[in-house]
Amino acid sequence: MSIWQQLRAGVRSLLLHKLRSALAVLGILIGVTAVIWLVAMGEGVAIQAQRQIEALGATSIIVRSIKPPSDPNEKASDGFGIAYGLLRADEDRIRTNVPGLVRAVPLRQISREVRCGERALDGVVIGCTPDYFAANKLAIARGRGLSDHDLDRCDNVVVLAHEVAERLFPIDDPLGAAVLVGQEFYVVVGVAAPRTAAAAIGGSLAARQFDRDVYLPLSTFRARIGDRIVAEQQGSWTAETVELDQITVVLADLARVPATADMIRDLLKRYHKTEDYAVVVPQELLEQAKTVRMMFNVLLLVIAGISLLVGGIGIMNIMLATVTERTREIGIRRALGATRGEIIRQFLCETIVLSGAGGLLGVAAGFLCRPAVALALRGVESLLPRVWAALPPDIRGLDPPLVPWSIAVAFAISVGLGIVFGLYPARRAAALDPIEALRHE
Amino acid sequence: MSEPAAVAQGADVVASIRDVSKLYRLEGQEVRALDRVSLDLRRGDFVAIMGSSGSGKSTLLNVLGCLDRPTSGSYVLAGRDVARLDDAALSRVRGRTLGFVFQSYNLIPQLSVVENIALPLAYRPRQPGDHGRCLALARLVGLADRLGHRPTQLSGGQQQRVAIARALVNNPALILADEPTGNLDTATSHEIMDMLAALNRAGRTIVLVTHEPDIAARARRVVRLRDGRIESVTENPADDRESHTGDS
Ligand SMILES: Nc1ncnc2c1ncn2[C@@H]1O[C@H](COP(=O)(O)OP(=O)(O)OP(=O)(O)O)[C@@H](O)[C@H]1O
Ligand SMILES: [Mg+2]
Repeated sequence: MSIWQQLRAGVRSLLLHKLRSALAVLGILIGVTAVIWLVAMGEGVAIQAQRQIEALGATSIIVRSIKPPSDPNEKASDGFGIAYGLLRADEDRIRTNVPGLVRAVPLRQISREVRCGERALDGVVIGCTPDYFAANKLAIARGRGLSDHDLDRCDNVVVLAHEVAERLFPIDDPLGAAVLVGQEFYVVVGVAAPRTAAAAIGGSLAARQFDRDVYLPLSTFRARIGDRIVAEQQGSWTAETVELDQITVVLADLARVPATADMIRDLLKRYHKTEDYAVVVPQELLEQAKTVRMMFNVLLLVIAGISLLVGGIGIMNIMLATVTERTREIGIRRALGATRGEIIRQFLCETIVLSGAGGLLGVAAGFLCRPAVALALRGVESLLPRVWAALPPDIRGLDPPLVPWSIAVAFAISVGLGIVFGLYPARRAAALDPIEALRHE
Repeated sequence: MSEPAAVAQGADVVASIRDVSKLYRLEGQEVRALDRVSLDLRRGDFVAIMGSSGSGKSTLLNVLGCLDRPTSGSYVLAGRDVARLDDAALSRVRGRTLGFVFQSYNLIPQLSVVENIALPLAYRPRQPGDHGRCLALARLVGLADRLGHRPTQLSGGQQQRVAIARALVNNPALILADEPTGNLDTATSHEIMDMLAALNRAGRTIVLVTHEPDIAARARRVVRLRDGRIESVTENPADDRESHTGDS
């Protein structure tokens, strides 16, 4: 019998017990689908992480101010409140000392009410340089961005984030209008394009939302708001003096990132008595995230492997039942000239048909991964907005791509499982004594 | 005590067993299912094996059918010593030189009539004209209009006719039938016997096991077994055999 005829004969025998065969196929289908889906998910998460790094800039080093643990006896710099964090001098030192620097982007940040007439919101006031927009991939949708000219003149100009402009100016044109930021009026010169949040990586960098931002020239920030921020806390007044909240250092060469980060650490250490700053390297975070992701992937593969194993056991179970049930058929075939090998081949063919069908259907179901995930995410977004808000951005933006090798591997594994788990029942069938088998029932 | 011999000389011998014994060991106790049996089957022979239950008829047929190996003794089938062949070689011998008809028909339920007839051909290289041969055999046994039917859609007599066609498809040197009429009524039994007799007249060598004397009477010779030994071999008169024949 040719292999083709044998496969056809296998299909016919399996169709004698449609439900039973369908269940065996289902077991393999689930296993194969699990492999493809889980690999796709892992890949989707990896792509998300890669995107975050790109958003932060793989060649950037982020230096930020950190408030030291409060120690009332020490560090009372001006006799009133504490001073900590990065200094404007640090920015200059970095600019002059770091080789291969593309740009250093300083910023200052504070929460203030932003108001226009009756409409107001709690905004995040960012004092920055024109570079900031390029460094954060923020496009200007209308008007203009901040210019060096604005910085030189300490003008009271502001660029609004897209969402802020929408909230404050639902009807009117924001350009040229005056908004109240804290106690001062500023003229709106531009509106940024919408920008999705930059996700957090490995927990070390908080997700950065852009939807409440208003951007001032850094020099204006210093002139109008100042370094010292006084706040009322539980009835007592506290003051903090911070010159810069963050300096984003962008290098030309990716390979120089780790060495440069070390160099900046050394540089800052020389001028800061306490560690009131942190040097964060997205590249390093990416490495950490990679290890976490690898463990995640191993876990996924273990789960997929278990489901394949269960599917294989299902096939074996069904083939053992089939062999018992068709003992007489085996006897007949043996009497009519079938060797043991031919009996083995016959039953192996049947298991391969089962597992192959499961594999093919599993691959078909694998193609549904992307639309299914999209549908599920959209369902959560509209039906369970709270759950949605709590989801990490990695998951919210998940778009699992079909990984070609996973299809090939999953299908090959399914057929391999058919052979492995079919071999024992087939050998049992072949080991039957023809006379005993003919006498069966 | 002389044992009746069923030994013949000549080149026309299809199957020849000599001093064949078959022992079964059950819980330390030995059962001698066949005890030094010798029998020659000439081309065109038609032998009925009779004997009480447990006398060793099926055991003898299984040895003749290469389904079982004798514990001792020799078996030459179609000029080849098959007593000591291994399992795979015995399978090949069965597939190429033997035809089987069973009491319970033993057709494969998921296969159609024509596929059941063709079954032995699956275990040897394909030859041109295989399919035509199956159709011709279906016609021979009167089932040309039932080719696509399943065994469950046929009567017992029809199923047995499919089995006979299947036993012929590989052009066997020897046809073995263990109680082929055991599940059939008298009229159908004789239809089947008519068919076997006609095949024998056409030159086929047939061995059948039966309990019924009127079935055995249709054979050329009757071998009687008792306790695993050949008790007697008798020739049937020719006119006796013809009396029941209903077909041409
Ligand atoms: N596999 C076996 N194991 C042990 N003993 C066996 C086996 N097969 C047959 N026997 C014994 O061999 C003897 C002959 O059995 P056999 O089947 O040949 O009888 P038979 O003449 O065909 O009987 P029946 O007319 O009932 O079919 C019996 O005593 C039986 O118990
Ligand atoms: Mg018997």
